[in-house]
Amino acid sequence: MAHPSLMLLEPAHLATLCHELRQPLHAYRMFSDQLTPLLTDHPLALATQMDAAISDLTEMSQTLNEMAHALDANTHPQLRTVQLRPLLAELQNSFANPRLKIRQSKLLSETDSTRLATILKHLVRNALQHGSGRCLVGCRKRAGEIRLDVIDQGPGLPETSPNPGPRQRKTGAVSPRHGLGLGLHIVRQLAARLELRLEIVSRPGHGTRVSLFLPDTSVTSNLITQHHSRQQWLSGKTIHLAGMGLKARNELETLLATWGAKITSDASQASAQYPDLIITDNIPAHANGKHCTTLILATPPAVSPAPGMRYLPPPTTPPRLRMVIANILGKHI
Amino acid sequence: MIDIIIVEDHPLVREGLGLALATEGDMRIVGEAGDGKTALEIAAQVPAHVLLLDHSLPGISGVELIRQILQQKPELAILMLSMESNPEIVNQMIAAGAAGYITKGAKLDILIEGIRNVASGGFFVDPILEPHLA
Repeated sequence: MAHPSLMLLEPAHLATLCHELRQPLHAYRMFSDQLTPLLTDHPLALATQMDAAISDLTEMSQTLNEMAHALDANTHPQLRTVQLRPLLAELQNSFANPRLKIRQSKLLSETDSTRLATILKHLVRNALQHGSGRCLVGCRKRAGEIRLDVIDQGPGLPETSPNPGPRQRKTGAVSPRHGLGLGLHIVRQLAARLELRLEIVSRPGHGTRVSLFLPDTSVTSNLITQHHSRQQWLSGKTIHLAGMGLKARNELETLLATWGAKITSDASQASAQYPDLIITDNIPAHANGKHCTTLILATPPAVSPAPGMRYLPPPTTPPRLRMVIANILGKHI
Repeated sequence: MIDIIIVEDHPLVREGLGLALATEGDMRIVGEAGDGKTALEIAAQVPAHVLLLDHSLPGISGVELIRQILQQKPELAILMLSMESNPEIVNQMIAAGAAGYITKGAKLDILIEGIRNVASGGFFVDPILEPHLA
């Protein structure tokens, strides 16, 4: 369990300690990745156990780091429109556990996506470890809110006090594989920082439902108009679109125009006045970067890139496109 | 062959990266640095395709180091490798000119894919970060 003195550290110091602790753990894993394929039989079994121990330690340092960030009053939530679909998909991938069932959602909310992901990770981990081993995650709209549920059918929580601190344990009473007992505490801290309502319903022998209430922004926005247009960050920039199918071009044109860019697609326009960027889906015969960069929406070939050519491999999602354009044009986003 | 410079202030991590990447047939470590000043010197002197850069080095910010490296070697692809997964920081590094960003928790095959991608002019972001990007 977390030593009480750890809780007396300033959160920023604790975060720094965790950061430093994770470096040798990261190095260990790289060495282990090299060593393990060379081992067989008993040495391999020992190495596997050592890896498991290091994984536990890594996870604990990550939890402490999250605790530090949750408590640090100097770090502020980064609110933005969040699509729940990729967040829930990543949650499913990170656990890779068939006992975790997640109902996908197209809903959008306005919150801090990394902190929300941390909340969900701890809730799911708790449900899988302390519940019946099965966990269901789902969300639904409810009176202008999104209720995001994490449900298990385990024995229920031992206590349901309004805001219990970190779970206390007797030293050595629980295996490290059960974590530090900080999960629910971190969830409560983060929910409070994000000003999200948290509801815990737990009955002995009948499982636990933890619900998080998020603002529902799906009704007032669609993906393009709200998620990607808070600022016309490409205002004053001209982007020339070349190649690509009509549908792809139209979608791209809409998105770039929403970001404030002036779009050209006629080759004569591009040569009359050089654009700031050319975007295409095939490798152009001539692009030397003299006048502007060409961004190619394709997997890069296995040869040295020609000057002035940049590649964005699929999928071409708006966030990836936004980042690579910002990178090319040197704009802060 | 992809020539790589590793800039990382933790010697163990630097060594681990060197060993891991050396097993790839198409990759070669051509330089190492543990601080920003040495990184700038090596980047200026040693021809390379990719510079693997830890975002938190003593004495200089990641953004500043990216800008200074690219001023002297604009063709060098900088791939960030960091414990930090804060999307604001990822955005800052990309906007400063990094060609990609990978978290240190990522598996080796993600790192390899990222290196190959940026070495050939591509752009790469750790898939785990994608749901949180702007």
